[in-house]
Amino acid sequence: MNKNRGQGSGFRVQGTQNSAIRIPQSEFRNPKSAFSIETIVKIITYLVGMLGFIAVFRHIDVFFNIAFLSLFSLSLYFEYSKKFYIPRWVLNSLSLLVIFFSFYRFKLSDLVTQIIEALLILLAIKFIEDKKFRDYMQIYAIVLFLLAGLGLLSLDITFIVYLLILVFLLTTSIVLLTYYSQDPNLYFTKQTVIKIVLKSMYIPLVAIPVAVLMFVILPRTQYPIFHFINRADKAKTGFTDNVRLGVVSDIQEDSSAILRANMEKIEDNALYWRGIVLDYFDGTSWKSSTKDVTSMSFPSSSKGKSVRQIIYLEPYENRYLFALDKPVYIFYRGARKYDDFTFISTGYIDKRIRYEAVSIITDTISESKIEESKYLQMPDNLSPEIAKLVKRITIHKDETKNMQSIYAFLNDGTYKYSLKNLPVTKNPLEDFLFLSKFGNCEYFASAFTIMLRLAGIPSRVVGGYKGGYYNDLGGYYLVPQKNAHVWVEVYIREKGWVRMDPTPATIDHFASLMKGDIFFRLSVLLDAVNYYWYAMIINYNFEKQLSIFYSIKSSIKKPNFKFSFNKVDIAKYLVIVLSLAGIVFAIRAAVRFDNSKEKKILSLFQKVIAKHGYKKTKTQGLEEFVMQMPDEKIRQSSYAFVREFERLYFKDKQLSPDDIKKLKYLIKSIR
Amino acid sequence: MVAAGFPACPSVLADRSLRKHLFVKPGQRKYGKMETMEINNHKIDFIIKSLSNYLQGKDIPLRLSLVSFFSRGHLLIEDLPGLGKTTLAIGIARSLGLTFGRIQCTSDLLPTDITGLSIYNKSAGEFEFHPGPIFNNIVLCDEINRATPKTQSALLEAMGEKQVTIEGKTYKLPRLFSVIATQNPVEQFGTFPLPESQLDRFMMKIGIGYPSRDAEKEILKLGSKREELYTIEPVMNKEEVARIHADIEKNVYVSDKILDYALAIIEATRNNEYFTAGLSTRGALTLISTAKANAYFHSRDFVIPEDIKELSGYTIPHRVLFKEEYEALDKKEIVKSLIEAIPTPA
Repeated sequence: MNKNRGQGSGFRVQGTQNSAIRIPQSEFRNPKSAFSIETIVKIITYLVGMLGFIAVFRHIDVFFNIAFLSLFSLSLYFEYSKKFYIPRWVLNSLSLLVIFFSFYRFKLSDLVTQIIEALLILLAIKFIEDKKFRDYMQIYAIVLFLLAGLGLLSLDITFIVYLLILVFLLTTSIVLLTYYSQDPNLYFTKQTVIKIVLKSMYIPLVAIPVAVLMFVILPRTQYPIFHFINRADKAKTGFTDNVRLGVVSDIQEDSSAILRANMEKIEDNALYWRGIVLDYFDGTSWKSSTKDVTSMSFPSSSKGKSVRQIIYLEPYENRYLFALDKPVYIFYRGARKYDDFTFISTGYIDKRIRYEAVSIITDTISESKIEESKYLQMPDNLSPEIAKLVKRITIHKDETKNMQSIYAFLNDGTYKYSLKNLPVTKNPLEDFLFLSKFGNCEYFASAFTIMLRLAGIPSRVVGGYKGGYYNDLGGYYLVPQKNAHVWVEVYIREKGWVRMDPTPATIDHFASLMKGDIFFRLSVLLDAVNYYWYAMIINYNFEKQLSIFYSIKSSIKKPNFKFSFNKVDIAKYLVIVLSLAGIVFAIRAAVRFDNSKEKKILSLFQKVIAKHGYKKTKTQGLEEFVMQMPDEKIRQSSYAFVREFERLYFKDKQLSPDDIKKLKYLIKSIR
Repeated sequence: MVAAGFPACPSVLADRSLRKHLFVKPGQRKYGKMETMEINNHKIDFIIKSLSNYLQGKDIPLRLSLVSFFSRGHLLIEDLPGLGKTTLAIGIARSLGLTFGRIQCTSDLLPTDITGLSIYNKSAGEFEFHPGPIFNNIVLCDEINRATPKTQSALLEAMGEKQVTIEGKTYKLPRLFSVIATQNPVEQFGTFPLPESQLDRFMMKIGIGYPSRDAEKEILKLGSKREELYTIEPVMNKEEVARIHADIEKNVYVSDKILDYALAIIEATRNNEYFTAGLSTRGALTLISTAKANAYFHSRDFVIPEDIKELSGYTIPHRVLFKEEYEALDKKEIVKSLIEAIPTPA
C-alpha cells in the first residue's frame, strides 16, 4: 500500500501533496518510513536544552531549577499536543520581566550565578514558544552562554565533556536546521539522517584543533593582535615622577584605570600603592635623588601580613612598578628594587603588563641608619614665615610629639582639601599655609614634610595611589587614575620610616566610587569582563596554558576518576529525580484540567458507559454511538448527556464549572 | 434500494420514532441556556410527514431532497422510472409554496426549450421574450441523460450561474432556484451520460428505491395520489423559505473541530488507492453546507460529525473519480469505508 501511494502521487490529477516538483522524491516525502526533519531538530534541541540545564543545575538556586523544569515540561507537553497555547507577546514580556528581575537583584558577589539563573529561565521560556528557525538559534546561543557561565563557576573535566557534547549536537542541529529552513516538511530516511550526522561531525573535528592552536598561539604574540584597541592614546593625568606645586589651578579627575590587582580583600586604610619616593624639594617641585639598587629582601625584623598580588598595570609612560605598601618582591623581567622600596622596570611601560608582587602590610619600615642630610634637605628660598610657624608649633622636646602636633596643625580643619582654585604662584607652600588654605594631597604632603624637616625630623614624600575598588566578581582591586596620591614617610629613630598621611580623611571621592548607581555597577561588570580577558587570554603565559593541558591530561588519566557516588549523593540525585517526576505529573494534571476539561468529561462518560458494555470506537460519532445502544433507558439517558455535551463542545464554548457539574450529573444518571 | 440500504446513514435518520422522544421542541429545552437561534424546523417535519402520505415509505429521499434544497443545492436522483421522482419534486414545490417547472429531456430538446426564447410579436412589432420552464423555483428535469450535451450544458450553466443569457440579454433566475434532475441508470442506449465534472454541480445524488411491501400494498389499495398532490395547501411561503435559508447559512455554528474532521475526510478522498481524483473544493464546501442544513433539520444550531457522516453517501460518491479497477465496486461502500477510518473529534 505504501508503494502504491508513493507511485500514485506522480500522476495524480489533483495534487495530493503540496509540491509538484518534489513528488518523484518519494523517499523524502513518505511519512511512514522516514523521520520528519522537524522532529529530529526538535529532539536535538530538547537534548541541548536539557544538557544546558544538567550542566549548571548544581550551581544555582533550587527555585530556578524547579522553575526551569516546570516550564520545560510544559513545553514538552505543548510539543506533544502540537499546540502552543501561550501567545508570543506574553512570553516576550515574560522574558523582559525576567531580565528586569535579575537586574533588580543584581549583586556583584554572585553575578555569574545570577546571570546563569536568568539565562536558564529565558531558555525555558524560549522552549515554550512555537519555535521557528531563529528561536532554535537563540536556544543554542543561550545554552552556549550557560556553558560559558559554568566555565566561570567551575572548570573541571565535566565542563569539557559538556562542551564537547554540546559542540557535536549543535553542529548537527545547525546543519539540519538549514535543511529545515528550506523546507520544514522534509523527510529523511534513517540512512540519510546518519549520513548527515556523520558529515556534520567533521566540522567540530576540524574546528576544535584549530581553536586549540589559536588558544596557544594568540597570547604568545609579542604585540597582541587586538593591541590597537587598548593602545594608550593620550598622556594620562595621575601619577608623575615629580610633584609640582603651584602650576595648575584645577586638576581634572581621570577615572580610567591605572592598575588592577588580583588579591584578597584587605582593610581599606591599608590600601596604599607605593610607586615612588621623593626626597628633594626645590621650592615648587619634588624630585627623587639618586638611590641604590638593593636586593629583593625585607628586613627580617618587620612584622605584618604578607600579601601576594598579581598586578595588571596599564601603560602610563613611566617605569615605576606599583605594589601594595610595603612591597618586598616584584617578579617582573628586569625589575629593579631600590632601597626605598620602590621598583623600576627596565623600559617605559608602554603596554599593559602583568607582574606578581609580594608586600607586607605595615606602617613602618625599620631602618637603623639613614642618610639624614638627604631627608632634611630644604629649598634655598623657603619663606622664613614657615620656619616661624614650625617653631611656634613644635614646643615639645620629643620628636614624636612634635610630629604629632604638626600633623594636628594641618588636620585641625583649617586646611581643606580641594582640587580646584589651587594657588598658581612661585611660593606655593607659603600661599597654601597662610593664604588660600586649601589644596590637594600634594600640598598637604609637601607642607607636612617641609615642616617636619624644619623641626629636624627626617621625612620624605611617597607617591602612588590610595584606595581602590574591590571587584568581587573578578577578585581584584581596581585603582583608577584619579586615586593618585602622595603621602609622607617620617623617620622616627626608634622605629624607622613611619607612614603618615596628612591629607584630610574627608577626601570622599575615593569612597564615592564604591557606592554607585546602576551605570556604575554595569561599568564594574564590564571592567570584570575586561579583566578576565586580560587575565585569561591576553596575558596568559605559555606555562599556564601548558599546565592546564597537563592537568586535563592527568585528570583523564587518573585511574580513580569517577563520579563519586556516596550515599548522600545518591540520595540527593534520587530526590531530584523524584521531584522531577512529581513536577511533571503535577503539570500534566494541571494542564489537563485547564485545557481539556472536555476530554476529561468525555473519558468519564466512556468509563461509565463501558460498565454497561458499550465501547465507542474512535471513528464513531457520539450520537451515532448512542443511537446503536439496544437498551432504551441507557440510550435515552446517554443521549441526554451527549446532546448537552455536543451543544457545548461543538459550539467551542468554554466549559464553566456549572456546565461541568451538569454534565457530570447527566453522566451519573445514566443507568 | 441503494439509498435505504446505505448503512453510513445511521439510525438517527432511520429511527424517527426514537427521535420523537428525544428531540426537544423549541422552547422546551431542559438543559442549559437557550441557544441564540430559534430552531424553526417543525414545519419541515410537518412537510415530511404530510408528503409521506403521497410517497409512502420515501422518508429518507424526501428528507435528503429537502436538505439539498435548504443548502441551496441541486439534486440528482438516479433511479428507475416509476418510483415517484416526479411526485417527490411536485410535492416539495407545492408544500413549500414555490413554483414548479418541468422539463422532459429528449435527444431533440434544444437549449431554448429550457431557457425560453424571443418570438416576434407582429402586433407590437418587436421581439418578445417567452421564459422557458427554467424560470421556476423548482425545476424538475426528467431523464437529463437523454438530452444532448449542448442542452445539458445550457441547463448546468443556468444551475451554476443562476441566470441565463439569451440573444445577448441576461435574465436572472428566481432567487429560490433548485433543479431536481433525474436519470435512468439502466437504459444506456441513446443517452448522453453526464460527465463527471458536471456531476460535481449537483449537491447530492440520491436514489429513491422500491417502496416496502406494506407501503406498496397501500399504494395499490388506494391508487395513485398524484392528482391530490396538486391540491395540497402550501406549508410555507417564499419568504419563510428564504428566512430558513438565511438561518441555516448564518446561524448554524461550525466549529474548527468539525472543519478539521471535514478536512480529514477530504484529504482521505484525495489520498487513497481507490480514487484518481478526490473531492474538489466545491465538494468540500458542499460537505459543510449540507451538514449545516442537516444540523438544522435535527434542531441543532451547531454541526456534529454525524451531520457530515450520514450525508457522505450522497455528497461524495458522484464527485470522486474511481480507478478503473474499482469502478465495478459499490462506490458508497468504498466511501463509507474511508470515512469509517477517520476519527471523530469527540
